[in-house]
Amino acid sequence: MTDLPEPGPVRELKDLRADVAGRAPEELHRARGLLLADIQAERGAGDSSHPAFLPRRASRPRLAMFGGVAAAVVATATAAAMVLLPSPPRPLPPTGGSSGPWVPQTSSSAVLTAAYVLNQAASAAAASSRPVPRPGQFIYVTSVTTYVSSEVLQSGKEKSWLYRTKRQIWQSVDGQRAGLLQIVDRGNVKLPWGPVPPADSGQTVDWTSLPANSCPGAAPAHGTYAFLASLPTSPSSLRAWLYQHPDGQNQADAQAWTDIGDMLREMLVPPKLAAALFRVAGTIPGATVVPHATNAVGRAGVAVSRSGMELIFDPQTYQLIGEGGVLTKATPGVGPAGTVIASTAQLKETVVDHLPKIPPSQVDKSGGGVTC
Amino acid sequence: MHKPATLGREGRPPDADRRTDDATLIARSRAEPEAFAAIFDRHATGIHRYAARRLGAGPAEDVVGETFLVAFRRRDRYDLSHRNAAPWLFGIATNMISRHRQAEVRLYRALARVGVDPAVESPADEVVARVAASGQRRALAAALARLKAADRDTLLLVDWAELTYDQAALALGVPVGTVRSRLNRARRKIREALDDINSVLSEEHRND
Repeated sequence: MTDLPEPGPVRELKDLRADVAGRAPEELHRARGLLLADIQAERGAGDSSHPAFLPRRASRPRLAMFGGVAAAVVATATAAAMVLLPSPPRPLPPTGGSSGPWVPQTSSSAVLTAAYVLNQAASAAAASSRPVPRPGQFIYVTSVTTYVSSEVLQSGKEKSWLYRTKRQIWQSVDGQRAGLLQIVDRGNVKLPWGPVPPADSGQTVDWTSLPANSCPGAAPAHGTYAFLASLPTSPSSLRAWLYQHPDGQNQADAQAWTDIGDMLREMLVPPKLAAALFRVAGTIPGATVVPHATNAVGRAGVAVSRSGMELIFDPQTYQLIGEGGVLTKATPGVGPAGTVIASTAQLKETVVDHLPKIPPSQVDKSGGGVTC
Repeated sequence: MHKPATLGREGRPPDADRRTDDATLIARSRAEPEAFAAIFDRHATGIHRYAARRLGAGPAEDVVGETFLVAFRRRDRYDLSHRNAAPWLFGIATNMISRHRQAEVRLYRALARVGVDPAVESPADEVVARVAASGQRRALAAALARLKAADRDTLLLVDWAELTYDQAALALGVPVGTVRSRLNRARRKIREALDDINSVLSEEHRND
């Protein structure tokens, strides 16, 4: 495929409705009145709700996380969205192991194609046994992730670094119950060519409630297990489904690769569907093999890569063990081609009956749920 | 997730502007609720303008009201290491706007059909709007209406509300990589819609 330049802002969009003026605070009578009434009510209740001498929860402050979308979003941490090149030479991944990775024995490296690796993965998935969840249960997944984070400075330049987290996610099987996400911050890491990242304020833990996104009797929302279970498991039908989206025909291959990654991430995928997804991925042009890949916990694997977006497999069992992301061309503020900008390891996926009991005061709400 | 320490610093070195930062005001409001009114006075116009661009002026005031009520009630949970409260407030506003999603898409569709902006209030604006009602504008509005809600939220937080990528990530509670991939996808779609209409327009021009 041709490299996609990272699209800059569209001027015409920035100008659209730019003549709409915001009202001054004192003109926003209704809104201001609402707030002042609430403030007044709290004053009336006395300051006991905020006693000055008590340590507040803010002693370990957090930003409440709000998401326009819930489970689908947190499960879509696609950091490899920059312009990426297949299998460039690259620096050691952040947690690279020291032992050389096992490379499948083939007569020549040219024989080791992405299609071969993906077909092996498909066979392994088809032969695997996974628990079959019931409606009302939760898919529980733990993973370790490293993604690039950046800020745009006033000068327009970007400053980037890697931030690391450990995630636990509980997703409602049918989308009809609220789920839960825990993110443990594991600190920032400097990019090889990057500046020193902002200082860590210590390990923090964030809990976010993922609202229900599906209604009884209606089709389950995208991203739920129930939705995945409704997809065709024959590779040809699945391929047709993945490619039916009308937007940007020339991007169809890239979109399909991205969508497959999204469906596999932080999910327990039904074995037949996983097998079909890998078979379809094996038909997507432009994928190459990265024989020496490492996941976010340093486990060696063999990866298939398209535009720098990698799926990493155990070289013996061909189980999916994580994802990687690599710049395919020099990106100002981030690094040269080959810079690792994403690395994950999916550690565990299983089915559980209940969410852990977390005091509601410690849980942020994310938006985007449905009301049935 | 993201380390907050660097957010909102750019453009406001500590000594260049002596006003108290948002975090200090929010901290104060925990003991003295009325201090929160200053947060409203600082940010309400920006939130209103953003909501009005997306929904029209009427619903926008509702969004402002709801946003600051929610913010006030959640001020105990605010991370005081973020000196600038804008990402937090825009995140809440985005949730409130999502409750008006039907109205928003209707507005874009109306704009796409006629090229006239039904939410522009004054007659003077209306004239400007009519003059500016071009095929481009219609194509843009139609493309906006077609975007996935999450992509549109991200795109408009960056291009209209002018949040940085990191701030948008905080506002939406997603990794910055997700912001980047959503932006790329959304901008590509917007650009494609523009390219399509531009080629149609230049075709028409040649045929004239």
